[in-house]
Amino acid sequence: MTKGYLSLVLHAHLPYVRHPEYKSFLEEDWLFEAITETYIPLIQVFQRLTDDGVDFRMTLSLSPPLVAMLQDPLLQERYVGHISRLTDLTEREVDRTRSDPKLNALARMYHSLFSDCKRIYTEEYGLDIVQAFRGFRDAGKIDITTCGATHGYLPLMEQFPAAVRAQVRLAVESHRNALGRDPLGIWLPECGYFPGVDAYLAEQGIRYTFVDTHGLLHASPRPRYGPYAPVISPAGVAVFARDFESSKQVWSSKEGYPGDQWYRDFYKDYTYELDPEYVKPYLGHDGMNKGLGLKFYRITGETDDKEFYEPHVARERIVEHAGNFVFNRERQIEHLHGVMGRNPMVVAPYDAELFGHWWFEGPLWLEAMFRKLHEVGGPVRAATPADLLSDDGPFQSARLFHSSWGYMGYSEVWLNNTNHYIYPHLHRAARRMTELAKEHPHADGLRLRALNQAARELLLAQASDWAFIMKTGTMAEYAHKRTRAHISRFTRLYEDIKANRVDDKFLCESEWRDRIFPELDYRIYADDHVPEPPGAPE
Amino acid sequence: MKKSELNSRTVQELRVLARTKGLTGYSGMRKDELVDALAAASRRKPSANAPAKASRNAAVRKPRAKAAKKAAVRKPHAKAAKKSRAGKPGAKRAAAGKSPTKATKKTPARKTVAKKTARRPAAAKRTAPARTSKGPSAKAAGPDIESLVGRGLSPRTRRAFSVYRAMGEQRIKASKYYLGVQEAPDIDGGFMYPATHGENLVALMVRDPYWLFAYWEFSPDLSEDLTRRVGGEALSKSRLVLRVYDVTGTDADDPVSFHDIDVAHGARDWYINVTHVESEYCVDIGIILPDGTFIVIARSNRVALPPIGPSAEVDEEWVTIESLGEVYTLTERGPTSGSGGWGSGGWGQG
Repeated sequence: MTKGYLSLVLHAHLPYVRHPEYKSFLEEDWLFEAITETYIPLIQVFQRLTDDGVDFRMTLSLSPPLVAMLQDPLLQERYVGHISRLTDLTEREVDRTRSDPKLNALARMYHSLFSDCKRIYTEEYGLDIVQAFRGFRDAGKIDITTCGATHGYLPLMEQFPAAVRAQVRLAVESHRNALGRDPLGIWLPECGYFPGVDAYLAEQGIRYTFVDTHGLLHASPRPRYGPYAPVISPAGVAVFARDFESSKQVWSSKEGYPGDQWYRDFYKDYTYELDPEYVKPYLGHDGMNKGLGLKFYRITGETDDKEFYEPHVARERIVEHAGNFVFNRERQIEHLHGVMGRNPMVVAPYDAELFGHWWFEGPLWLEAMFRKLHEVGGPVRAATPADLLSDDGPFQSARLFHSSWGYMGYSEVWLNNTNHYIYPHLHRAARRMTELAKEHPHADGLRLRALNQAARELLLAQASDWAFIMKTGTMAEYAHKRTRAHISRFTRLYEDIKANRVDDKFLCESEWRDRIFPELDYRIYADDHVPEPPGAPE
Repeated sequence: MKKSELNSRTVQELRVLARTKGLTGYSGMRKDELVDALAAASRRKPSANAPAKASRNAAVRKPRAKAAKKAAVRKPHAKAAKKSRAGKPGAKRAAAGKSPTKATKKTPARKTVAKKTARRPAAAKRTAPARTSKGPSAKAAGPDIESLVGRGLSPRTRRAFSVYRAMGEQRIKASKYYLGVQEAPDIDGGFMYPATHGENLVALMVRDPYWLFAYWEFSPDLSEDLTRRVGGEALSKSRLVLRVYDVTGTDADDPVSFHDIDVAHGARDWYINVTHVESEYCVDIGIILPDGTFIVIARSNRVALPPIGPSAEVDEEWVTIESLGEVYTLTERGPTSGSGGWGSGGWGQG
């Protein structure tokens, strides 16, 4: 008998990184590594579960920049090059390590992984894996939500209604274009909620979104069921909250499953043990010595002396951890059901890239978890927020306040000494974009293109990833440069439009580099009113 | 539970089971002892084995507070004259406790920042959520949040964990940008951010329940304007100041209170530790002349701080919504979606 629901949410996002001006570009590897280790393995898991008739339901959030990159021909072509090099290298490795059983097993494992990736990417889905997710959605296995247009962190642009509106509206439009249907749900970037953001969501037809646990716990009036039932915001948007317990089991780097010493170590890369001359043809980025993802070691413990990875032992741990997770959810849901007197929904959201990339065994764990859930047929049923909302209620209504799922629960990660300098520039650009849009309600020709491109530059500058990276330190230089580059191009376009002297050459170059959202209409920035929720109270 | 099933569990899982079944003294038991104890427990009659959770639930239900008055409540205050009044010294940086009289349901009218434009988007066809009395009976005791979220953990552990968790989590979230090497070729053409754009402005942002962030810019003519206004000598002896207003339920011309923060002349931003949590704020950037006169250079937008804990308002409101089932059909969702699975059978049990 069903006593409650487990609602797994995977949020897949990478910032828009595309550098046609270089033959290859280091940061494009973010995408290639995620495709290889996360997105394709997840597709394989969904396919196996479907083939075996395992009942599963979950939500996948696909951010517009990620979708744009996955469907971009230049990046698709570069990925094929990337995965081909890896397939070739591991083929040679299999041959070279013939006399060393341990190494050979690992080389074979990776060769198999990479060749499967290549085959699925090129043959099964013709380079467009977005269609794979669309297929699983159409088959009723997953719900797909959208996310902010360029993953802009909305609470820190609260004072600019046009900018917030554009992030939401473009997200909905690009989702519709790529996936053939309007999204019912949105993953707020970083679960960044501010009071009133729900009205922008409702305006675009969004029906549900997510916040961190305290986002709901601190709502007013106090939610009767805590984070285990959604509340309806003043604008009529259902808000679901993250569950603390299921979160800890996966996110905690010390106590969570991914830290198990038999699981693959994220950092240690065997590429560095190989002869640089031998590796060189496979490196791709002008021969820069970079790890190629031949992660042959297991975590082992708090030591630099890592042991070789043993897949069959890892496999046992996966099954055990999956069983443990299901067991804990059953206990949790039984307890909550008893306390609530109705079925709780346990929402378990994670970054998709956690599965497979950081936690190599993640996708297999997910598969084992769904299989276990299906097999026990117990009190826990896999479901999605949309499933719950196919009932009309009643639901509790409440007002929510600022919150995020970032460190310390508010906006500190994106507003601190490493990155606060960007906001005067982002805000000024937002203000200026509205100014331009209002001054030119009916632009055409060169000016129309310039206005659209200015909007693109603003959107790309607003990616919350830049502020996050500035704070967390890896690749900070790139984040600073990206922000500066987009503000620079925006400013130049702004000045040119104001002076009525748009430079065709500069415009063409900008369009060639930053080509997200081809259908974008700058006029969305002319609308800077704060939306009223439908049927707003006195 | 059958012994064979219990034996297949780990010791940790058996301990969890023991706790939920209200057994005592289990933390010292070996696995076989745990299995025996649990098997015996499941054979006993339910009444002799009341689960710990029920008693905890009944004990901690707090009496429901009467919802506070709906109208915006103004805190008592003295008129804040702009001239010689010395505001609260900036040294008072520690956050004070919760303000006793707080505006509840009605949020004070916000000054709309943007002008309304002529073109409005077409009104969404959706109907607003309808109030309903069909919510769970008000008399039935709802679960206490502690019992829902704090299961088995002490408040101190939970607090410590949420901070700890988030730190480990942040490192994992950062891993998708990790490539082991760094490189940042020229992609920004050496653009220099300008320091000013021609106008005086100050903006206020919320960082978290205890901190605000303000940034400001000055027009190139500011110095000249001020000299003309107050004289070069007075200007050279004046202090640059951020005046922080508590405007909960009111506005900056009639604030609840304010205090001044001296900022260095070259500074263009400042983190402000709030004096009252859960309040609304705005700031002026200005100068204080030798005679104490405050000259405003610019005034910021207003912001509202988020709450620091669960709401005191416990009068619940229940609504029905336009169900998603009407938005997409079963055929679109595929044959595996159960038809009646989510309706009254699942959710609606009272």
